[in-house]
Amino acid sequence: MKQNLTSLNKGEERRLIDIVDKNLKNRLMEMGLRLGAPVKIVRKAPLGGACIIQSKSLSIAIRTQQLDKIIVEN
Amino acid sequence: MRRIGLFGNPNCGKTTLFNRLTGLNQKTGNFPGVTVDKKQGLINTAVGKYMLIDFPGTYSLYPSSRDERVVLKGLLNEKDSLDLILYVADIEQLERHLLLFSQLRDTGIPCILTLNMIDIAKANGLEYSTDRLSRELACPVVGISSRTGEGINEVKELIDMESSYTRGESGFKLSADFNSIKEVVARVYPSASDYLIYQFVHHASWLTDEKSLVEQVDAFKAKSSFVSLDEQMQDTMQRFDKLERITQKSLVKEGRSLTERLTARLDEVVTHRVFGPILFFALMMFVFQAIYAWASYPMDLIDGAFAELASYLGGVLPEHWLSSLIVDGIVPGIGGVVIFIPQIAILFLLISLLEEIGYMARVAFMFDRIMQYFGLNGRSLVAMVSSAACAIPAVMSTRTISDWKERIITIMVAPLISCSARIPVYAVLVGFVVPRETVFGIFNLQGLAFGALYLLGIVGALLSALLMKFIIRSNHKSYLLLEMPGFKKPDFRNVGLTVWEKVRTFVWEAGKVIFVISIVLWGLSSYGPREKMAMAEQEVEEMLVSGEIDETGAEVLIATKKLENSYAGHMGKFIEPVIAPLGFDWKMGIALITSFAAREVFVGTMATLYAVGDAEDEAGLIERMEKEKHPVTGKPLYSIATALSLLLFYVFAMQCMSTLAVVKRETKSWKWPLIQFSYMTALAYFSSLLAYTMLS
Repeated sequence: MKQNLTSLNKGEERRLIDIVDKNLKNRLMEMGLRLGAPVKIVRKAPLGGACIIQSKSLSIAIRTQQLDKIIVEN
Repeated sequence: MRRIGLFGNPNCGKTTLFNRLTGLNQKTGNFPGVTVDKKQGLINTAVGKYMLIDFPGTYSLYPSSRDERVVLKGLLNEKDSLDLILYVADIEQLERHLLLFSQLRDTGIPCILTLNMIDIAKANGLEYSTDRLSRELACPVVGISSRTGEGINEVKELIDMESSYTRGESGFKLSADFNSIKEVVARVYPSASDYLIYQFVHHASWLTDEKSLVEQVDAFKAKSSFVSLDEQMQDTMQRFDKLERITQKSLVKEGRSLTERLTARLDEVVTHRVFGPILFFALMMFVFQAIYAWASYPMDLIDGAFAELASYLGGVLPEHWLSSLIVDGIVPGIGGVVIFIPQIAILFLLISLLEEIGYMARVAFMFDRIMQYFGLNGRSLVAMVSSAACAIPAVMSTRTISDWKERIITIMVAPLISCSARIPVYAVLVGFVVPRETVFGIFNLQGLAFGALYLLGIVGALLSALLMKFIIRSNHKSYLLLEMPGFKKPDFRNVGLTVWEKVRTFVWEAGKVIFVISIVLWGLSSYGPREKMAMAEQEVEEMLVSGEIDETGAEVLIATKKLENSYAGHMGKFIEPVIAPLGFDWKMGIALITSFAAREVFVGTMATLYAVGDAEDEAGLIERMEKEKHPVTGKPLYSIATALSLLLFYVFAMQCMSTLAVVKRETKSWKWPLIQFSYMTALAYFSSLLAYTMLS
C-alpha cells in the first residue's frame, strides 16, 4: 500500500518508496535522501506553502506542492 | 605553482577551512564563462606554496543550477587542471557528504579527504576509523576541525606529499557500449578519465561549443537509449549503496548528536507560527537601527575629516587648476566612497552572522510562500534584505536561486529596495521637507518619513515582481529544496573575512565609478565653451565697474555665471524641458545626470554645485537649498512638491552603473540590464510627475 506525503500528519514517520518526479528525485537523492529510509514532516512554514521534511540527520525545506510526488509506505 | 581544488557539500564548513588555510592571502576572480566568484588563496606549508581554489559547494557533479556547472567545467578544462583535490566532509553527515567525493575520486585527480567538525564528533562520541576509510576510499583521510584548527597541520603535511600520490586512479570503468563515443570525446579531452567522459556524455550540450561533437554525443545517446535522468539516478544510487557499506564498516562508535536536538528546540521558536515572523521583523528592525544609528558616528567622523582635509589643502595649495582638481574633485570623490564603509561593514557583519548561525535558511523557508506569490523564491527575501545595503551583493547573492525565472525577477526588482546609497539623498531631502519633530512622544517624524520611503521601495519591488511573474515565460518547474543546516555558533573569523571582502569589493568596484564620476563632474562644472565663459566673466566685470554690485557680489556672480555656462550647466539645461514637469530645474538636472552613474553622487553634486556657486558660504546644503529662489517667480525653488517629487524619483530610478554592470555579468546579456534601466526610470519619472502635478 502506498500514499504520498501530503496525507501524513506532522511527525508521522514512514519509509520512503519512491519520488515520481525524476528531476526532483535526482535532486533529493543527491542531497542524501535514500529510498527505503524513514521520512517525516517535522515543521510547516508559518504561512504555509513549504515544510521541512526529515530523514535521519537530513532536513530539507520543500514546497508543499511537491509533497504529493513523494511516495511512502502506508 | 601547484593547484589544489577545495570541494565539499553546502554547509560542510568549507569556507571556514579555506579561511583557516589561506588567511588574508585571498583574492576573488571569476571562473571563465560563469558568474560564480572564484576565490583563490595561497597556502604556505613547511615545504612550499600552493594555490587553493574554492569551488562552489554542491551535492554532486550533476549541476542543479547554471552556476554549479563551474565544478564540472573546471575539472574538464585542461588548462585549469588541478594537481590535487582537498575534500571537506562533515563527519556527522559523512555518508551523504561522500557522494560528491566519490565522483571526484573517479576523475582520477588525487584526493585528500578531511572529516570536518571532529571536535563536535568527539564531544558527541562519534568515531570513524580513518585508517579503514583511507583503505576503502584509496586516499589519505584526516579528521580536522576548521574551527579549532585541529588537524590543520596534518592536512598541510598531506598536501606536501602531493607528488607521491598517483594520478589517474579511478574505480569507474565505462562499459564496452561506450567505446565508440569514448574515442570521440578522448580526442578533445585526451587525459579525461572514464568518469569524466561519462559526465561529458551527460552534459555535452553546455560543456562544449563544438556543434559536431554535441551532435555525435546526441547520436550516441539516441542509439544506446541513454536517458540522462535515469542514468544519473543509477549512478547516484550505486554510489550510495557502496558508500553506505563503507561508512558502516568504518564506524567505530555511533554518536548522539547534540546539535540535532538543540536545532529542533530552536526551530520550535525561530520558525514558530507567530514568533517566527515577529522575530524576523524584530531582527530586521535591529539591522536598520544599526545601519542608521551606529553607522552615523563613524560616518560623521569621516565626513568631517574629509571636509577638514579639503579646506586644509585649499589653504596650502597654490592657485592652479590641479589644486582645484584635488580639492574639489579628488578629495570629495574619495570621501564619497569611504563614507559608505561603516554602513556596508555593519550590514554585512549582521547578515553574515545570521547566515553563519544558520538563520537565513530558516528565513527562506518561512517566507517562501509569500515570495512565491510574487514570483520570487524564499531566498529572494535574503537577497532583498541585502539589497537594503547595496544591490550589488544582493544581485550576486541570487546565484543560490536555482530557478531561472525566480532568479531573474529577484535581480530585476532588488535594486528597488532602498540601498544605503540613497540614504544621503533621503537625508538631505527628508531633512528639508519633514520638520524635526516628535509625534506620539516616541516617533521621530523624520525617522517615520525614512521608513515610509523604504516601504515605498519594498511595495514597488513586490508589485514589479508580480507584474514580471505574468510577463516572463518559463517552462521550468521551480523547487525550493533547501537543506536546513543545524544551528551553530558563528565563526567570527569567517564573519570578519566576509565583511573585509565585501568592503573591499565595494571600495574597488563601486568606488572606481564614483571616483571617476566625481572627477568628470568637477571637469564638467569647472570648464565650459571658452567664449561663453569669458563672456560671463566680462558681463560681471562691467557690472562691477558701473557700481551695480560690490567686490564680493561680483565673485559670487562670476562663479554662478560660470557654472551656468559650464558643460555641466549646458547638460542640465538641455534636459530641463524633460524634467521641468517634475518640478526640477537645471541644477537638479545636473545632479540627476551625474546620479545616473551612482546615486550617492547626488549630494556631492549638489554640494559641489552650490559650493562652486558660493564658495564663502559655509552653511549646510539644506540651508543653501532653502535660500534657492526660482529665477522667474522668485519663490523658493525647493517647495514641498519639488522635494517629494525628487524623493520619489530617487526611490524608484535605476541610478547605479555598478549594479547594471553586475546585472549584465550575472545574466550574461545586455537585455536584462536594459530592461531594468528602462522600467525603473519610467516608474520613477511617472511617479514623480504624478506627485508634483498633484501637489503643486
